[in-house]
Amino acid sequence: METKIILRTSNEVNNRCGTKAQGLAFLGAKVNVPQFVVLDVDNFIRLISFLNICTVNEFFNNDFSDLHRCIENSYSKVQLDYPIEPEISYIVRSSAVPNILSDSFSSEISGAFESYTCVGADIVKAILKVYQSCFTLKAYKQLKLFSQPVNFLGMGIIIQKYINAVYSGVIHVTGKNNIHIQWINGHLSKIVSGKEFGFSNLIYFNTKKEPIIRGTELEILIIKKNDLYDILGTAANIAVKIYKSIEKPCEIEWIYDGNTHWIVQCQELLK
Amino acid sequence: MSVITKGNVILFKNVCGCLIKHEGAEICEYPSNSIIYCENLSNELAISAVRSKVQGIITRKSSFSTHGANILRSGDNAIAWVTNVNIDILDSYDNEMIYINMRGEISDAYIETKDVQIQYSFEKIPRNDTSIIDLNLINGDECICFWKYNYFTKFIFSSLGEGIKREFFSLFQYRPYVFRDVRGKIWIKTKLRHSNILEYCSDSYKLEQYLHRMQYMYNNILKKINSKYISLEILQNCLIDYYSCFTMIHRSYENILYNFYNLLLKNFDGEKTIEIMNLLMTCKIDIWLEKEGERINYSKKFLVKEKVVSIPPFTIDEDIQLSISRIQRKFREIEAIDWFNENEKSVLVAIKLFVLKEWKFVIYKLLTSRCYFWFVHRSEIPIDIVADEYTYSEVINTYGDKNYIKNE
Repeated sequence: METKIILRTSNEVNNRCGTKAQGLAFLGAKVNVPQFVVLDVDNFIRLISFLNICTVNEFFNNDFSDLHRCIENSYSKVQLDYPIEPEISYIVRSSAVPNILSDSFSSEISGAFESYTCVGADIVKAILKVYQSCFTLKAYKQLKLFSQPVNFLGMGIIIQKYINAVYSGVIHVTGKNNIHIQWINGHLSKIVSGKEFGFSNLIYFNTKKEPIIRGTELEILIIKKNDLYDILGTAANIAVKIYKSIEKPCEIEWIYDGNTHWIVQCQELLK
Repeated sequence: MSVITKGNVILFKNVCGCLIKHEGAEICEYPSNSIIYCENLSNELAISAVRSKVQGIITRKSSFSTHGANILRSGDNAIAWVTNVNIDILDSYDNEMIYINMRGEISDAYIETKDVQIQYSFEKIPRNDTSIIDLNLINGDECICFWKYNYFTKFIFSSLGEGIKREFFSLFQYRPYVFRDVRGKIWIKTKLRHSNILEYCSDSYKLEQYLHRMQYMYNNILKKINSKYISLEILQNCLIDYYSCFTMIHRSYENILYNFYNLLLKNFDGEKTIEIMNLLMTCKIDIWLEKEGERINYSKKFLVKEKVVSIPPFTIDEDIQLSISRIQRKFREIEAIDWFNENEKSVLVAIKLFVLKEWKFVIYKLLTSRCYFWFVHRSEIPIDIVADEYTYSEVINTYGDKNYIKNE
């Protein structure tokens, strides 16, 4: 017996695809967002039912090690109903879906679930690993801390073409002149995982609307030496554009691949 | 028994005492068996410690070259002092008996270490970078704020800004654009860094010229305010002159003294080096300050409540000359007068630098106390509002300069 996973394109994203996916679909019309496809929460529910584990809201009361084993054993049983190119690298990420679909999760659950990078051939394995990260003590504790597990309907999944990061980072925008940028040489996963701190600066716009970055002597030296004027300035400009369009303080993850700035995530900033 | 934390020892001996937190900017009385802890070794803390004859001081910041350190050195009683300590840890030991040993270890029980004769360490304490830079990502323009923790009122900035321009001119032969942001931080439009100032200070010829100018300016200020009556306008010129010396170099003098300490260490043993440094880092103005203590408000804030500070009865030149003679005598005593003669320039620069640095505070108080006096005698002027919202010239234009400041 097999279960199929059905993918939606970014144009078909709805509230059953999760907060993150909806955010990216919204931004796709305004800024550069890497091409992506989504698995809605129904896939998750169908899969869980297929695996015959239990109902979604009861997962958290289960023995997590059993759940892990169960999902691991199911890798081979799942097929994708979408052409994923086997040689290309993808990043598979979670997109939490709230129980009341008109609600949305914000940065309170960021980092609760895992993301995985893989080539197309291993995409199913990566999807299951992301699902698997749902059934960890860490995820449970984080959900319980900020929300309630009962508010969590399940998980959507985003599959994005992997962007090689030359520079990347996270931006918090709380006002047009209050842009806090944390950036790093390489991929921002080093920052969000907490393994590295990177650099953290304030950016504001002067009366001529030119971006001004504030930093220590060392930080400014690095910016000048690596000619990062345009990279950081453009990131700030994109952040303000997003802020203006959503009209809420937000957290934005961006990647510069050597040519283009890509927005890989945007969510409302937790107050 | 456990070591709570450890810091860099500046003045050392084994001590024990009841831990008390020093808060605020007042001179306080403490029991003589106490150990005081605080963020910085402020003048107020040092005076409180010397007067109360406390056992020890623990600070988060501050180094051997602060005014507070000079006050401790000038005091008769030896006080242990450990700095670079994370003092947050100490909050839970407030009012408890603690011990400091000569290794700088702070513990809740006595740790046996060999006591030594009280000495002073001139170890250099690493400092956090206090500069921040605003870089325009379009055209590469840069503005630097050398004092990111300090905020200045409009009133002070109207003298300080011009002073900084003048000091820049004397250091680097150009006048940068200097401005104050809405929060009160001072920014200078320049690509120069603290390292450039350090570089300047390492050139003994340039430094000598600089100190010569500083001495001249300070003498000039003293001359101007030594008349029976002075106007607010004259006072402003004095303030600009004051800010045009040692404002930019203020963060670097420690390096100069530290370099001199190392120069001595290369040629003399540790004990002699410390003896010479101790002698070098005391001067007549410190003793005068200690005696005048009760009459002076040690706060470095502008327009604090204070009496007009009287002009010291001796000159800067005399103070420098006295220090030179003392040091010269010391070198004779240790039979190293040849070394003194060979390195006369370096020795004189170090002496002059220290004495002038000590006078800097006195000059500041002479000027600010007169400024305060002027405001107090114009009771219709709300000091706080004026200081925050008016420049110096605006005060003169609005309220007039007819009330001259009388020297006591």
